[in-house]
Parts: sequence; C-alpha cells; structure tokens
Amino acid sequence: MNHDPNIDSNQDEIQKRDELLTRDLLGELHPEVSEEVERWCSEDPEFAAKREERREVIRLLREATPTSGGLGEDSRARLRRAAVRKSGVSSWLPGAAAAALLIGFFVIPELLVPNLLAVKSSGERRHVAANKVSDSAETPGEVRFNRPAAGGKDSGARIDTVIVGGQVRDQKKSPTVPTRSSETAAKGVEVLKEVFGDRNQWTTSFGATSGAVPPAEGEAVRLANGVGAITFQYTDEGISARSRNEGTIVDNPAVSSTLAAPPDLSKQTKNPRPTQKPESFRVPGDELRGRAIARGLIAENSEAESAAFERNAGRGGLTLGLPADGIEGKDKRGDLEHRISEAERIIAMLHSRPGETPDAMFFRFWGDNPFVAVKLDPLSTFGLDVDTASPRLCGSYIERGLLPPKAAVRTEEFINSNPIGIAAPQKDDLGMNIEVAPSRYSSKEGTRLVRIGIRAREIPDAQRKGLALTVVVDVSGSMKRENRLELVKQSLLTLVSELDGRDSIAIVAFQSTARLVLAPTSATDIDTIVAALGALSPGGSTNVQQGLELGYALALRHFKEGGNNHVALFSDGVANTGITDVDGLLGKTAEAHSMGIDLNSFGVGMGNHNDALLEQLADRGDGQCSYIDGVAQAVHLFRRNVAGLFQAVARDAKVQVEFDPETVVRFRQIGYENRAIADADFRNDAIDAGEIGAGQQVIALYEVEPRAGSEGNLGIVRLRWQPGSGGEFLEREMAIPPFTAEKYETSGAHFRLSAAVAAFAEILRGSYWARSTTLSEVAAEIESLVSLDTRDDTRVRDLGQLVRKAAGLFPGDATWAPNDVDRLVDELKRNRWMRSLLEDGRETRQSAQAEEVRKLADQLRKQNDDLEKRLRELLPG
Amino acid sequence: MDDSALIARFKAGDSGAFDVLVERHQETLLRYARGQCGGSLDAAADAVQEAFLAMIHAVRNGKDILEPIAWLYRVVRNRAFDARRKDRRMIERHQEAARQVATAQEPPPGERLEDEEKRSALRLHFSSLESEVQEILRLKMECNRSYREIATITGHSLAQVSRLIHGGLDHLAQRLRGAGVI
Repeated sequence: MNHDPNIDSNQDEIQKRDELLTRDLLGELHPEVSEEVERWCSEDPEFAAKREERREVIRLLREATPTSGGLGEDSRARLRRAAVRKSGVSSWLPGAAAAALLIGFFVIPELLVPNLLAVKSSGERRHVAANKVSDSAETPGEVRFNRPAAGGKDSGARIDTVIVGGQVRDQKKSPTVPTRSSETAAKGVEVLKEVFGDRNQWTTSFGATSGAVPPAEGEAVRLANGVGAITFQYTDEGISARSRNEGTIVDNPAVSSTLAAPPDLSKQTKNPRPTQKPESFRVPGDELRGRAIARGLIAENSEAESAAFERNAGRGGLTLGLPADGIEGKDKRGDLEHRISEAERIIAMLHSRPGETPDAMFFRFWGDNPFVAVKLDPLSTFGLDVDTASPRLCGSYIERGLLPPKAAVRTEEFINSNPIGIAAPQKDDLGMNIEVAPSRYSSKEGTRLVRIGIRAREIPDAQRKGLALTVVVDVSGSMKRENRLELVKQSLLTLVSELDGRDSIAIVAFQSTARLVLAPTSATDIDTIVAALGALSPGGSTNVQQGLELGYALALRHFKEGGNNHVALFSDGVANTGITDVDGLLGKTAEAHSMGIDLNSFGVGMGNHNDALLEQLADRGDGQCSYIDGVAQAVHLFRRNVAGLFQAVARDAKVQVEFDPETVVRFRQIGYENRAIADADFRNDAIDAGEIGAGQQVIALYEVEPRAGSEGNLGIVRLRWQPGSGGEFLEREMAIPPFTAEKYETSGAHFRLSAAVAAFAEILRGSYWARSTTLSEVAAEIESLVSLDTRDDTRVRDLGQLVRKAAGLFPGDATWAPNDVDRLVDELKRNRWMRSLLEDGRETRQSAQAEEVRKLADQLRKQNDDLEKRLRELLPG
Repeated sequence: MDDSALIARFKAGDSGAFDVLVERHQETLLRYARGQCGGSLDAAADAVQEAFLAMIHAVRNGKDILEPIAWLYRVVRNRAFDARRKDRRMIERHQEAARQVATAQEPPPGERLEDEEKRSALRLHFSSLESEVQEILRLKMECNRSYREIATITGHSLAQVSRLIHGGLDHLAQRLRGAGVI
C-alpha cells in the first residue's frame, strides 16, 4: 500500500475547516465562504453533525449568560450628570473616588489604551476577502488561479495549494476532500508547469513554505500558515482548479475584488499594484488531466493511489502522490527543511537516553515488556490485581466497530476475566498452579508459555465474618437514565438476599445533599430494607462528597468489631460537582481504611466509561471497583459472592518469579506492564499491592526461551501476602517444571484459553510480539474451547464472537500493516535497541568474541546510517 | 443610530445621546466586567461606570474614538485587571478549585443530562478553560462582540481570536459530549 504522507497536513486542513465552521456559526464569515461551509455540510454528513453539535454548545453558552441587570440607578444618575456637565470633575465627586476617577480619566485613555489607536488603524485595513472568482471557477474543465494582490508592506501572502480530489466515475456528485500538504502543492506546481509551460512564478508562488516573498510580520506570517488555497477538482469532465482565499487579509477592502491571477511575485513586492485586475487561465480539463497522466503525475484508475487517498482523507477518491524521486531543488527549499527537521526529530527521539537500559529503551519504543536475559536479571516481580474493567471497555469499542486505543488494553485483565480453571486451596489463603507448554502464538521459535495461576481460598458463607455495610447511593437526576437507580436497587436486593442475621445494612442517599435513608438495620429485616429502597427516587445534582462523608460517619458510629466493615458507593460518576476537595476525600477514605472501614465502589450503567474517582477511592479504601451495566451482570457480581466482594483473604499480594539461568535464556512477561514492582521490593511490605477477595483468581503468563538441551526446572515462583485478617506476611514457593504438556495441543483447555486471550489482547495492543498472529487464528482457537462454558456462564462463546468481530476491523486480517515510514522507523528502533544491547555489553561480554562484537557493532552502525538516510528521504514535509 | 453617530451627537452637546449609549451597552459591559472581576458585581459596576466616565472625558477633550464600544471594553478590561490584581489570591484559589474538580473526574458517559446537572457541567467545564479563552468566549457569547472588536479589546490578533474561540468551543464540545450534555 502506498503510504500517503499527507495525513498530518490533512489534519491541519481539517482543523482549518473546523475553525471556519465555528466562524460561520458565529456570523464571522464572508457570505461566500459561508456558502462554501454550507457546501461542505451538504457533502459531508459528519461535518454537518459537527456543525449541529457546535451550534448546540453555542446555544448552551448563550443560554447560560447570567443576567447582569445593568448599572444601579445611582450610577446611571451619576453618568447623566457627568454627561450634562460641561467641565469640572471634582465638583460632584467625593474626594477618594475623585482620585480613582482621575486615573480613569487620564491614565487609562492615555497610557493603557494608546496602542488602541495602532490596532485600530490596522483594524481598518483588515478585510476578510473571499475569492470572487470561485463560482465561475467551479465549472468543470476550467482552471483559474488567483492570489491576493500585494499592497503595502504587510502583504506578500503566499498561496498554499489545496488539491481536492474526487473520483466521479461512479458518483454524480464529487466529494471534495481537501488535502493540504507541500507535496500536493509541489504536485500542483508540476501540473501547472506542464500546462502553462515552465514559468518561474509557479514554483515560487505555489511552492512551499519558504515562498518567494518572505512573509511580513504579524498578519502575513499567519497568512502563510494558512488560508490561501488552490483547489483542484476531478470531475467527469476533467480537472478544475480554483483558489480559495478565505480569511486572507489584504490591505484594503477594495482589494478583495482584485484578487490577482498568478502574478510575478518578485515584481509585485517591488512595486505593489493593489488594483491589479484578476487574470484567469482557462485550460480544457481533458487536456490538463491527460497531460498530468501522461507525465505520470497521476495514475489513471490507480487503486494504490485511491487507497492512499482513502487513508488520507477517509474516503474514496484520487490523490496526487509524490513523484517517486521526491522533491528536490531550491524552489522547494522550505519543504526540504521541514522534511529534514521531522526526520531529525524522529532520529533524535531514538537516541538512547542517559542511563537508559536496553530494556527500558525497548519499553519506550514499543510499549511492551521486552524479552529479558535471565543471566542479567532472573527476577520478575509484580503485584496481583483482580481488576477486570479493561476487556469490558475494549469490548464496547469493538461492538461499535472501533479498535480500542492501546492504553485501554490491559492484557492481564483480559486473561483474568475469563475462566481460568484453578481449584481453590483448602488451607492456605492463596494457592498456586503452574502449567508449561510450547507457546503457540510466539513470534520466536521454540519458546514455551508458563502459566502461573493463583487462586484465593473460598470462604464458605457460613464462615465469613458478619458484614456491616453502609451503602451510599447516588440518586442524582442522571440515575434516572436507563433505569440506573433500578439497577442499583436490583443489585442491593440480590446482595441482601445473600446476607443473613450476622449482617447489617445502612443506606445513605445523596443528590445535591446527602441524607440518611436507612439507619443500620439487620439484613433479615427485608421489608424495612425494601421499603427504604423503594422510596429512593432520582433528581438533582451529584454531591458525592457529602454522601461519602455521611456514609463514613455512620459506618464509624456503628462499627462492628470483628466484622467486615464496608462502605459501598454506587454512582454513575456523572458530574460529581460537589467535590471541592478531591485530595481531602481520598484522604478521608484512607483514614477510614486505617480504622477498619474499607470502600467498594460500583460504577452503574457507565458503558465504556471508567471513572477515575471511583477507582481511586476503591484503591485508597482497599476495596474493589466494579462496574454494573445490566441486571445479569449485577446478579453475577452479587450472587454467592459476599465474601469475594467484602472479605479480603489476602492483602498486598505480590509474586516474584525467579528464572534459572541454566535452563532459561530469556523471558518476557505478558501484560502487567503497569504493575511491575522493583525486585527488591518483593519483601518490602510497605509497598501497596493488590487485594484478593475470597475465591478470586489471577493469572500471570510468561513466554520463555529455554536453553537448548537443558532439562531441569525453569525456575521458582514465590508468592507473598498478608492474610486478610492481618498479622504476619506469609510466603510460599513452587518450582516451574520444564513442561506440564510437551505439545501445545495436549495442554489443558484453560491453559489454551489463557494463551488465546493473551494473544487477542496483545494484537489489540499492537504489541511488538504479536505481529505474526492473526485474529482469525485466535478466534478459531477460542471457538474450539466453548465446552468450558456452562449454562450460566457463556464467557468463552461471547469472547469468540468478540474476537471475530475484532478480526473484521483489521483489513485483510493483517494485524501489523505498517507504511513505509512506520517500517523504517521500526527498523531504526530495532537497530538502536540492538546497538544499545551491544553497548551495554553485559549480554555479550562472556559469550562472544570481541572481534565478532566489533564486527556486529560496525554493521549496525552502517545499517543505522543507511536507515537514517532513507528516513530523511522518505519523510514528507 | 449607530454608536459612532451617538458619540458625534454627544460631542455636539446632546447629553441624551450618551445616555442612549449607556442604556444600550451597560448590561453586556457589566456582564463582561463581572467575568473579569472574578464574579464580584460591585467591582464590575465600578469598572463599567468608570469606563463611561472616562469616555465622557475623552470625548470632551476632543479625542477621536473610532471604535467606541471596543474602547469601552478595553477600559473595563484594564480596570478589572487592576481590581483583580488586588485580590489575586482569592481568584487563583477559586480557579484552582474549579480546575481540580474538572480534572478530578473523567468525562461521564454520553447521554442527555438533567437540566440542573447540565448547567453545573457547563459551568464546571467552562471554568476549567484558560482564563483568556473564558474571556474571549464571554465577549463573543455574552456580549455579542465581533471577532474584530474582540481583537481590539484583548490585544490579540484576529487569527488568534478565531483560533482561541474555536479551540475553546471545541474543548467545551468535547467535555460536554463526554458529560452527556450534548
């Protein structure tokens, strides 16, 4: 696929268009440009929708205008008197005010507003000119050019060309998608030269950022950045081109009607001719197009070029690409400069930073965990976490036909949210299970996948501690939507039906203010609870701060010794406007936690939205943050899960894996990119790590590259945690066997599911390590595992469908589809990374001969220079 | 009769013309002044009154005021600036609080909100804008000033005004969409 380098410039163009849209809505556009905006809207529904949205914002803002009432009668009278009085200020002013007014009278007009006059005079000269010839030039097959006449020292505006392409072969109406870039500008120049002969002024007036006329200060500089334009249009009849100068600032209103034709710029700057008549060129479209095609400037029916255009403008059409040999020469000097500076920027970014290890560099380049040499660092340490918000969030992106952003895909949460099939330990708080089999989705031959599963002890309902729950419910107006409040009631009823005589529940509701709905009541008093819930109705705004403060006060007053004391916050997170002091609120949560009250937060009906506040609160309160989107989910969350939600069996749970350098060359951890803990902190119990509720389970996956011929264990896994009831930290360890299954196919079904889910997430992340895998492969694997589903739990089937859907979002199933620049940059990154490995020297010190290392370094340096050179050549302006 | 004509009449001795001018512009000026004075109505009224008085004086002294309305806003702006400098600490605290709230929460999901929440969301996100953007948006939305007048009042260039207004609206649209207001 042809890479089209115009994307950034296209962004500029889109922004410029947006800005014109805003100006149009505010009545700040010349009527003719306004018509242009109207035309865009009629051709582009998205643009029209944007206009409606913008209109709505403006309406809201205007509506929100406060009534000011006006000056008081005293003031008015004073002003009337002042206006009548011929002279003498002090006669009617009290002394102190007189002093102030003297400032007002003399200092302000004289000293603070003097530049008003200067602005004023240039303000008069400002004129927003619209292109007067645009209408006639739109006739297909006709070409007109013009530029604002120069006049006065501030002029010298350069015209940027915008080439509007649109294939009309099978469309009645030509879509006009402006693309602005210096390449297209240069290409435009080529076309012009071809048609009109090689006149110097083409390259100068339509060239690039340097322009023949140096932009003057102020207006002209901004002009050069933006507004003059020539548009080319492809129609059934051929090419038409026209210029747009909307927003061009010229010196005199009269000039707007004298937008000149392609001028001799050098002449104009020497001798401004503000009254120059427009000059137009007529060129039969056929001829223009024919010549352009003949010269190879535009490929006729070129699929590659249309594809490039599609990438560029998001729609079908024909774009004018860059000539294969690039643009060279002094006329496009500015272009070249820009191009080079962009290349330099990228190259500079790829330099290693002071003190940066090769591994850190890898993470910076690709955002993935690198393979780590066991000889250098045999340890991998991380905190456990049972959050599962990421797959739900990404799922909703995919359902809407979009790929989620990389940052939203947290691989470990994908793995943990699917069945992982590990039996709960009987005695210990946490149990471990390790499986090892050949890796199926690896980009490296011979690697193995190590799956470490951790499962928390189940607490039989009879054995769990009594729960003193204070529910804090958001009953603001937005909770009315989608029956969110009903969802909360449903959730609480499900929960209460799981509770018994050991438990008590209190309810606080908040909207603009907070109020006590139900004082602590035994969970068996169902009628009272149902009646209290039934009385909740939504309305008003959201004052979560007051709600939580009241909730904490209540929980403290009715603290249950030896029980699970929890505050549960239910909110949709909409407009938490009452929070004037976020830190204070978080501090209060932490303080309550230290007194034994934990906080669970439940996001209700939030779709694909994560609420930072809810998550932070749960984090500080040592509880979980869960999201509830529907009744089924609520039931799944609360049914038989009281202990899982409200009784942590392990706190600050950390895992440390130590690989054996005798059997493993390298390893990489899959996921947990943001959960790494410094190896030395494994036994630092002050480091906050994950809380694990009863029955919960966590998986960690490693891809390891075994040492050839080795047979022993791959390493040891250590698990450390504090029991949920407090007390001494406990530690357990377990060896990683070389294999639990010698073939991938014979490994356990849950193992294969975890592997496939990890591959799915890594592909979504665009991981460096998942480039060789396709989503259809992954989908097929997942679909083969649906037997893991039960009647109540169809997660595997649902996942298979989701992966299929996601597969459809990658063109041609290719998960890694780089353009030329991407590929070059990627190669350059790899080169730099390898050099950094060599320079680091630790990995090669013993193993290879010095001579070989030097040779390799030389090779890499050469390759690097070559890559840099190619990058400079390839990069667009 | 347009503003310049009113000024000319006033210059010629028709004091009623000035009253018409005051009547016509006091409300929007006051609105603007209030925004500039951090919400204080008293300080705003002072600034507006002084601006009108300054204009009376300037006209009497034979000054040509070419864009009288922009001129008035400009004076109000300078007065408000002085007033604000005095209790800057209060303003900064106020703005900081607003910003904290605005950044402390992610935009909530996209659906229409209740009126009350809508208004508070709008206020919230508006107050999280840069103060210069707030000022320019107020001049446009609440005071109906043209881009050119705004440029003159604030000392920005026309293109900057256009960019700031567009940028501000864009930012607001995003936030309000996120908050389910639009």
